This record gives sequence, C-alpha cells and structure tokens, in this order.
Amino acid sequence: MTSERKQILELLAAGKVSVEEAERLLQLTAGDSSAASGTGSASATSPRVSNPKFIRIMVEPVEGADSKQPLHHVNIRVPLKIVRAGVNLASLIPGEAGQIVQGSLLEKGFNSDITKLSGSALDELIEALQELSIDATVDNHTVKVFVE
Amino acid sequence: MIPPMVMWIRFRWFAIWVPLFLLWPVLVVLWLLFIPFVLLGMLVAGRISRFWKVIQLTLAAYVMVCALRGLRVDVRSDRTTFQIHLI
Repeated sequence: MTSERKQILELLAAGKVSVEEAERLLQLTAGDSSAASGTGSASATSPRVSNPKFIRIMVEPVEGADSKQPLHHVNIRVPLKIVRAGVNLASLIPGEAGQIVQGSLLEKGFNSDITKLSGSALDELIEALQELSIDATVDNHTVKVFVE
Repeated sequence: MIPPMVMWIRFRWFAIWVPLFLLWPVLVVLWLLFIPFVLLGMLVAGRISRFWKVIQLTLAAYVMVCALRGLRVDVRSDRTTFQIHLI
C-alpha cells in the first residue's frame, strides 16, 4: 500500500473526508500511479486544479431558509498571490458569514482558523483544495470553497 | 503582468466604476520624474547602495498590484451590500 493510499484511508477513518471524497482521492492516486507506469493518462480525467490562481468562497442561503435569521450572500474570488502576501481572507467576509465558512471548514476536517491562515496552514489548505472542493451546509447556508 | 484596468465598487445604493487604466500612465510618469531625485538624494546622502532596494520595492509593489487583477468581493446581507470587482 502506498503512503498516499494509507493517508487517505486514515483521513476516512478519522472522519475528515467522506466516503465519496476518499473514493475520488483513491482514484486519483491510482491514476497517478498508472500514469507514472505509462499505462494511462491521469491528467485527462483528473479533476485536480493545477496551478490555481484564485480561491473562491461562496455562501448562499439554502432554499426555504428561515427568513427570521440573517441571510448572507457571499461570493469572493481572491487571488492566491494576495492571500500568500498576507491578506486576511476572513477580513473580506462579514462576521457571521465568516463563522459559517469557518464552520464548513471544520466540518470537512480543516482545523485551521481562517482569520489566522498563514504559511504552512495556508499551503495545506490550498493543496487540499486542489484535490477537493468544500461543499457544506451550515446554519441554513450552503458553503462552497474551491480554487480555480 | 498587467495591472487591473477597471475597478467597480458598489456600497449600498452607491456604485461607481473607476478607470484605473487612466491612472497607471500618470503614475509611471510621476515615478519616472521622481526617481532621478531619489537617486540624487541617495548620492548626496552617500546611500547609493540603497537605490537598488528602492527599485526592488517598486517592482514588488507593481507585482502585488498586478496580482489584484481578478479580485471579486460580493457581500450581500439583509443590512448591507458591498461589491468590488477588479477587472
């Protein structure tokens, strides 16, 4: 078993990724190994975003959400260069919507605080988002976080 | 590397687009006019070695401005609306 496959299974066991995500990751690692051995092309079918330039955060209320609660619409596309230069992602998202995004990240196993994303934590998040996008429902809002 | 050409801002009912493409040539001209004085000042002060740092700093600032191209922030809630697009 390769170290990548073992890591994915550990993430699945820890509940940090769903079964579907783990399956996708396993397919990717299988694709990579077959490409390396010259038996197939992983890049043709791989959803991996190579050389991403932007991080995109979208928050939309779910249909039929309780209108008594404040509803947020957030659509942010921030160049990764700017984020790496030290711009705080959370500063672009209003407080309550920021908490919703943080909640979605926690739900998917990213324990980093988006208000303090820097260095290795940021690289880790970007690396993960190249493989997977975050799609979660938190507090009557759907949250999508991905790189493009 | 191309800097953003247009900035579009909306805050509540107020919306404006800013033609940044008009600003950059002015800034380049100002920089070209200003830089000989910086060089002269550094020569007089005997700190000519720092001149390269000034050039590097200017280039870094330019790279960051160029990186801003494509920034998009749309935030709407019951209370407020704020949008900024850098194109």
